[in-house]
Amino acid sequence: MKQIKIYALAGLAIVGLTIGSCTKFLEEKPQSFLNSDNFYQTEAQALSAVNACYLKLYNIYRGDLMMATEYTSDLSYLTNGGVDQSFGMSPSNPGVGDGIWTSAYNGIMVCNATIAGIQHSASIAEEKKPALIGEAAIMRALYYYILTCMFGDVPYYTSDASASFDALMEVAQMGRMSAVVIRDSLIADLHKWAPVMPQTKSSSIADNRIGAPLAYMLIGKMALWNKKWDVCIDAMQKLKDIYGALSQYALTDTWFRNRNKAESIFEVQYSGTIKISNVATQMTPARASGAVYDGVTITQLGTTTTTFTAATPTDYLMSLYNDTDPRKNTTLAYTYEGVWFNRPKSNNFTGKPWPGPKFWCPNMSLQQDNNNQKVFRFADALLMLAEAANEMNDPATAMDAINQVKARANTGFVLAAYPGKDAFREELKKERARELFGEYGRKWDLVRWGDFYTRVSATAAAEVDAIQTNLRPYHEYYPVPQTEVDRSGGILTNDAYNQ
Amino acid sequence: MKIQKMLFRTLFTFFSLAVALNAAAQSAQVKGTVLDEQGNPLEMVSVVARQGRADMASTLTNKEGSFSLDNLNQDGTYDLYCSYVGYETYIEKNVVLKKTQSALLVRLVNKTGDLEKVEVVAVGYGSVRKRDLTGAVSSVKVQDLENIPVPRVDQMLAGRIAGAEFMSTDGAPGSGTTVRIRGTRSISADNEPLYVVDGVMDGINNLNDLNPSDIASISVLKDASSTAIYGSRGANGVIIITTKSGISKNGKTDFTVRTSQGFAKMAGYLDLMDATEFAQLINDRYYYASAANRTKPLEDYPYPDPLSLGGGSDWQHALTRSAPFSNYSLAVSGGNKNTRFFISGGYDKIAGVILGSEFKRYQFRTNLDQTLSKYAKAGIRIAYSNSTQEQPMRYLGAYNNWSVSFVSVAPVVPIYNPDGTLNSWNSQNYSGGVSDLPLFDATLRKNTTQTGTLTSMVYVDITPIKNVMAHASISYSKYDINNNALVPSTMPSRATAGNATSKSINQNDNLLNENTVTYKNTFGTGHNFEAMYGFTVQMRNFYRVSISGSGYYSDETALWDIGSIPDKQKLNVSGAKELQTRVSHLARLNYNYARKYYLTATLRRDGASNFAANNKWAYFPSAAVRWNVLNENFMKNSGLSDFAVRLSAGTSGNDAISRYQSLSRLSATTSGYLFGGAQPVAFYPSGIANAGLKWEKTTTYNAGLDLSLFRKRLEVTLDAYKSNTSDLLLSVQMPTQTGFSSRLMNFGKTSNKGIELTINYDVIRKSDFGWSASFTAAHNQQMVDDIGLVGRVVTNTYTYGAQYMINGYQAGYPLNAIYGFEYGGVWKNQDEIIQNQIDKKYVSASAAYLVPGRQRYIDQNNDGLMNSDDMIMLGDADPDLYGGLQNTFRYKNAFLSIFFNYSVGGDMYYPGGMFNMTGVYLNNQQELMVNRYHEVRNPDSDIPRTDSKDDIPNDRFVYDASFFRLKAASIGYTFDLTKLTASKLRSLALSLNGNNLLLLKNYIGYDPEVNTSGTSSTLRRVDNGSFPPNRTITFTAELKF
Repeated sequence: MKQIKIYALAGLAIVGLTIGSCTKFLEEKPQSFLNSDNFYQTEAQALSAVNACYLKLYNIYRGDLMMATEYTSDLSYLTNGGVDQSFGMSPSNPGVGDGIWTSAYNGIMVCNATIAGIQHSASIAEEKKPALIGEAAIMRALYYYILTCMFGDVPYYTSDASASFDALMEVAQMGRMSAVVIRDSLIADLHKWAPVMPQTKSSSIADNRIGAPLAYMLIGKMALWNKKWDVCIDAMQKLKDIYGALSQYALTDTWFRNRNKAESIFEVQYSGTIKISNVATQMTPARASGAVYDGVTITQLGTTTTTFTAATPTDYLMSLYNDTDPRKNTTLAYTYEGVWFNRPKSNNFTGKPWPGPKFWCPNMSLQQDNNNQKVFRFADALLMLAEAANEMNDPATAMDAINQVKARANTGFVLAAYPGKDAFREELKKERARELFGEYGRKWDLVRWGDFYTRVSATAAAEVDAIQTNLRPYHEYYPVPQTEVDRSGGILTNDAYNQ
Repeated sequence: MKIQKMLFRTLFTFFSLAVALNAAAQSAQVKGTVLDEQGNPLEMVSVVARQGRADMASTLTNKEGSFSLDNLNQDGTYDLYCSYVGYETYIEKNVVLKKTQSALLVRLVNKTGDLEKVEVVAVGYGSVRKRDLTGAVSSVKVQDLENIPVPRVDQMLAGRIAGAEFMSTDGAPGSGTTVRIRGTRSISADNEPLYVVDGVMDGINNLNDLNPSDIASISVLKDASSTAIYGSRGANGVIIITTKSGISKNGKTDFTVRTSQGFAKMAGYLDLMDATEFAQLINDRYYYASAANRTKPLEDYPYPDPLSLGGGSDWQHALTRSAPFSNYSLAVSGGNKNTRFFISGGYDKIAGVILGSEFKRYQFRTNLDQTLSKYAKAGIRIAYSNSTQEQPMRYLGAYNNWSVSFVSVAPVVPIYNPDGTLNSWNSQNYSGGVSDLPLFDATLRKNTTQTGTLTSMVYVDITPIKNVMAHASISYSKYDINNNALVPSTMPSRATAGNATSKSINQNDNLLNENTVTYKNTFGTGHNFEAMYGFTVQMRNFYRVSISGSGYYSDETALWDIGSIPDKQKLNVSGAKELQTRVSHLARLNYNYARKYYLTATLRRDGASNFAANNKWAYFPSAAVRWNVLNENFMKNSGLSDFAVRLSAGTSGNDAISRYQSLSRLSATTSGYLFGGAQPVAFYPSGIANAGLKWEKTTTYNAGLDLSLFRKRLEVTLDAYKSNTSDLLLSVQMPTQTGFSSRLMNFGKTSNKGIELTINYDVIRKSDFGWSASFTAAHNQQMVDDIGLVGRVVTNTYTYGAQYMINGYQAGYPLNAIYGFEYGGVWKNQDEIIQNQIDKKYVSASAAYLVPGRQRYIDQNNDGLMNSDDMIMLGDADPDLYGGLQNTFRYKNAFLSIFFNYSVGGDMYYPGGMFNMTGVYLNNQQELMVNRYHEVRNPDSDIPRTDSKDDIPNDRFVYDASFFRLKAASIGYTFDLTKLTASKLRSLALSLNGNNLLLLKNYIGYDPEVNTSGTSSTLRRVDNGSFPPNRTITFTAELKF
């Protein structure tokens, strides 16, 4: 009896010692996630990594960025007391800059990891790789384009920060790099990938993926920033080859609710209640009850829309439109089906119009705007071509390009004769305002032209007390959020804001 | 003040008593010897001579078992009591003392069964007599807890254990608790103590899984000498809970039936603006909207006649109620010589004070012990707990979801429409918007959390040869949490999108095998030796499935018929499985010489799967000594009942980080970008490999003193300690340019030092009347000693604005320091602003705040810039002193028990102030905002003017978190039914109990004793919208038969 117990005890001890010394028992073998070593085995896996490169577009192309590019320009303002709208941005109050910084860099990290993963994959056929890598590289360029426009000089890297701890720390210790250098580097990279991407209109690429047109557009935009006019012209000519004449595209196709039309170069895809932005809440006449919007019944907008304080066009933007310009009543809303809204009707029909139907979202559920967000389209490319050609002293190209845009609005608007380089540039700035208001770019154009402070001082600031009080030249770029300055241990700085 | 007075009074009382005792002196003595059943002399037996109920003299036997009681009256009649732990008390009645009294010979017999009076304290993998303890261990008297009408163990314990701080994550019925024993050590890993219930680690997930009436004893292991035996798990202290076992009553079975009925209500309300005051605030905003024209006609103002609005909507009262509470429990225990059992069941139903919230729970337990033979004993423990928590109100926030939170919706927003339906229009939501105002949530939404915990354990104890005991146990526990939430289509926000459901199923299990062999012997005279070796193997599985969907046709079936989704794109599914394993070897050596000199040494070697491949194993050693000074000859006539000194040192570890943290990881989503209207899967990096991830280690030094006076009427335990934690598992914030916001690393050092005092004092100990008091006090100071190269680790930021650090770690600062800007009042006029451009004394958040009436802060470095260089430490969330005071009065069969707990000197951040103390028009404001700046009406005020939400954390929102709480009070009477019912019934106890009856505080929020960061490692005292702790009144009846 006693012996049996001793054996039992010894048995237990042996079992324990065996398990105790078995290192396999403590090995971690995850069963519910993958890592980059066991991923990138097939083309489908690589594509799913490329899909992730698009994720952060939803965190960027929405009301925040619209406000930071359009309602803080010479064309409109928003008087809801927010930080950005009243130019209260500072490192302490980074406004929307914080979210955009974080989202764009997360997008960049994912793009870099995707590119590295596909490059290093031994099982994906080499000839399949360029198109996949190109897509990620163009997306990366887009994120950097946004960052350099918003913040100016920013940290720049194309290595895979997720590869190792050391790689991560290397990126963590990067300071600001010249935006000009970054753009040159990106232009070179895009020149490498654009040729391997689909050379067709964005609307014809399956599944709304991106192709060569976005690459050329980004080359053109960044070339304008860097004043490399020839590089821009070259890229815009490539787009002209793909898109042909502007006259074939209807003006109504530029409305946000009309998705993925042929003129489009890049749209962020929104749909239903799955993916929604909140842009239209600040672009729709105020709804009090039912389907009555500022005194006018608009059945198509429905009865469940939430409207916040809407953007107000500046007197300057209002003055740009000729009454016969069809863009006037789509960009601005004075009336709906002939009935005047209360706001423009006030003060003897001199009140402010609302943002126009181009931006409205029919039957919006609360704040859920499901219109696609229009980022780039062919008319923009033509105006960029006109601008670059004018700077390169090529009036013929410049005149043809601007007149395509003007003629589509009204054939009577075309410039009969070249007005001279400076006058042409001024006209181009106005034409960009008429054609592209509300398409995520006006403030960046002003900054690029060096006009930001003077133009906003002369327009929005003259109408809004808070802007008059707060506006400073350094507001052309957003500050790096103070949290990022702190996290970097002071490597990132905000020299402009700290004067 | 009150506390000081009480202390003084206590001290005064026992000094007077000491004087009285020394006065008595006569001349007669009685001598004797005490032996055990085998005839060996018994040392340390307490011998007391009593007259009636009064103790006249007492002593302890020496090594030879002999004693001598002096100073007794000649010819006096005494009763002699000889008592010793583990033995039946021997009583010799009516001894008349003669001048030459013959020596007595007493034989004590071993007590069987009833161990209730033996002060045995559970320590890791065993138990020791309290007198033999080498470490710092606190134990709780369960009888103090029995009349407390709380359904939660943590609420019973708060303030009763020196050095343990209990805090509710919030006051909702059924919500969790966060416990810190001797402060916080780790910054990122878990800081919650290890719970060991009936020897099973990780068997419970939450103290709520236990039925308070099942608990027999609770020990809290605090120093490294006691916790090191738990190695990797012990760094945060260990709470050992033992449930009741059956008691051999020779076949008789005891029944205890108990019920509590009561109600809970809000302990207080925030002092917020009424509609008139709020309307005036909005009018101020209109006044300030245009700098050019400030003379506008009254009728143009948003509220031309604020006074006509009166009080408006009182959302706090509309959402709260007096909520009923009931509890029923039955316990059966008994057994015979070989078999003992304890079976219990309980049911609780508690309605929450917030509308729609409810908690229901039932629990069962069976404990069975069987003596198999002379050599073996076995037993099982099975417990099951099932709870259902309804919490439909989502937002109690200080600023989270301010548009629908019950403390922030403005009083000008009506609760009901004129037709009696619920109003959904929040006029203050920017320019107005349809909102799920609080009553919608409370009445329409479903949010049910169902938790099931099964714990089972079998053990066998074998004594194969003399002096050797082997113990083996296997336990299996299973923990299921199912959450089911439905936002019906009738909710305003779902009007067009339709209903939305979300469900999650979590199943965790835990298999643990523990084996120990103990050898115990006594050599020579007084060399007591005990050695233990053990090994344990543990496997824990974590499974999770989450499903969410929206747009179902029917609200009734949406939650359960999840497959019936009209649009498959709106169905989201995710899942995970994780496995965690641990292996440990442990050894302990106990030695004492003549119960005077004690030595304990332990060593544990732990392996844990969740560290990097080469860092999985670590050693955790400890050693402790105790000196029972009282047993020295020179202390013979000291008159003390106990006097011992303890010293210990040791290392324990922390592995409480989640699984797979050292591996690189790709995450997948199917709710990503829309490609052609579909959302194909997207994979992206979400974790980086970290081959360096290793154990965090804490070394603790402890010195303790146990003192007992006046025949144990006054017991004092004092401990002082210092602990150093290194290789902190630290979640370091990364610059987000890396694409990651933080990562887990080992670095940095923290330290804790503190002092803990427990005093138990029987102020009056008479047969008819008793008054006993117990007081605990603890002081703990925790510092960050080193934070490596990063300089500062941010743990909590305000989520708006620049997201400035509110809490974080900086070397040389307290661990729980609160940071922010120093408030400098408001700008009074433009001249001040212009002058400041030269002086650089103040800064404001941005150019928009450089206007009269808006906030300015001290420019600490006078550089004219506002940035983190101007941040200072505003306070420390840790209290200077905290503890509790229990007073129990007994008169015959009646008792009164009053328990206070207190905390002095901590600070608390009130984040709600960012919204409701800055005059923002979006939500209601604290009443103090009535005195805000206005250039005409109130130009001298330093409270910001309307519309001044600048998103800057500052000391305006930091409050003293000190409090003094009447935590529990009960009054009761026990009827002895034995005679009345001819022993059919034993007793009926009736009591009336109150909980959280009074709270004195300086804090502007509901209660300073909440922490909405849940069990967050780092954050203590964060109140970002919590369900405030209730006040409860309960009537309890308990029948025993």
